[in-house]
Amino acid sequence: MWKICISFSAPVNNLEKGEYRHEASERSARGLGPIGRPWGPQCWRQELLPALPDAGKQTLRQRRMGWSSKLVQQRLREPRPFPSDANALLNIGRRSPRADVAKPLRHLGQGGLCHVHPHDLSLQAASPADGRTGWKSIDESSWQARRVSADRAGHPIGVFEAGPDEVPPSPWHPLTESLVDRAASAATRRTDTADLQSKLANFAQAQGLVRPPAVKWFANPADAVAHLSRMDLDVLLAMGVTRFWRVDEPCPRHPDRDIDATCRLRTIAEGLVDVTELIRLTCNRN
Amino acid sequence: MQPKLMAKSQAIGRGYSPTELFRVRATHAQIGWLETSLAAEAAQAICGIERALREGAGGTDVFVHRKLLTFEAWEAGLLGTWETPSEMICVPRFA
Repeated sequence: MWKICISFSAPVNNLEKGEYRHEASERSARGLGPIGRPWGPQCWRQELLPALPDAGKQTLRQRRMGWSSKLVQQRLREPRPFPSDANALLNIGRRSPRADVAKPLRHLGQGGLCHVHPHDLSLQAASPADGRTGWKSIDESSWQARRVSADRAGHPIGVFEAGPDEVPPSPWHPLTESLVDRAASAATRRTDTADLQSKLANFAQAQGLVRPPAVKWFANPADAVAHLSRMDLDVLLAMGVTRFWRVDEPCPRHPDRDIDATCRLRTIAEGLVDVTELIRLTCNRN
Repeated sequence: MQPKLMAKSQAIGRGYSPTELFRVRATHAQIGWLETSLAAEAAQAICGIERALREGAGGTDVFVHRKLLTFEAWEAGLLGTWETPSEMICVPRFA
């Protein structure tokens, strides 16, 4: 069992905003090499030990409270001393221009199992005798480190050796995994209202409605609320509640066998799609 | 709840009478019942699909299909909707 200090090749907050992905693709398009961020102890660094399970929540909370700049300022000019009880350093992040480390980082932030491709890992052993200066590189292939896990109490983190053919197990269905990936990359898109209107029509058809709803566009939620608040209260009260998006869920036949995975999925999904966005935008414009 | 509280505090700031204040609160509460956050629906869709698939549903199952369409509406840039009998008010995530 190893006690590991984890360092990231990019700030967690930037990854959440999709900036890292954007920067990587920009550099790739311009024929540039990998992202020029320092690698190793001087990279963006988030010490997750010993409170790993809280780190994900903390990041999400920080983001919700607008503390994103605080993390960004944590870029290290000088390497900080590693925790004295750590005996290895684990760098996570790809050196390829098509880097995409958001997924392993995000999973790691939530605690539990984190699947990282061997090429994304760089593991260094610490020499307890001379502290930080004694870090020495270890050949990645000799470690075959594929899985990093942390227990619920936040420690310890173990790196497990795996055979070359082993596929990292996922607690979720591949379709769910693909939706999580799509949600992570949906932040940089533009809205095509014509496309959306056709999607609404498809959904209406799937719901068995005779015709799609007449759509009225507003630029922001505050304008929509202002428009509705000008209506007479009695008229509003007669409108009832939302029905369009309601899809009745089939009654579960079996109890949930992996509640941890379900809860983790919900936390990840809500963090990715930013469920507070609508409320925030409504309040910001008022 | 937050837009409702904000409307209430604005009304108090403008010196509305108790009756007017009640009307503002009731109006915004009712608007809340018409509102759907597509982000919340998308998150729910991911979890709902996972649950359905774990239960043995296939990728072409009706429930999965509808939830996928909901997710895709958010993914395509729909932020929120308000349903009225005559129209659906939509707000995009990006300009």
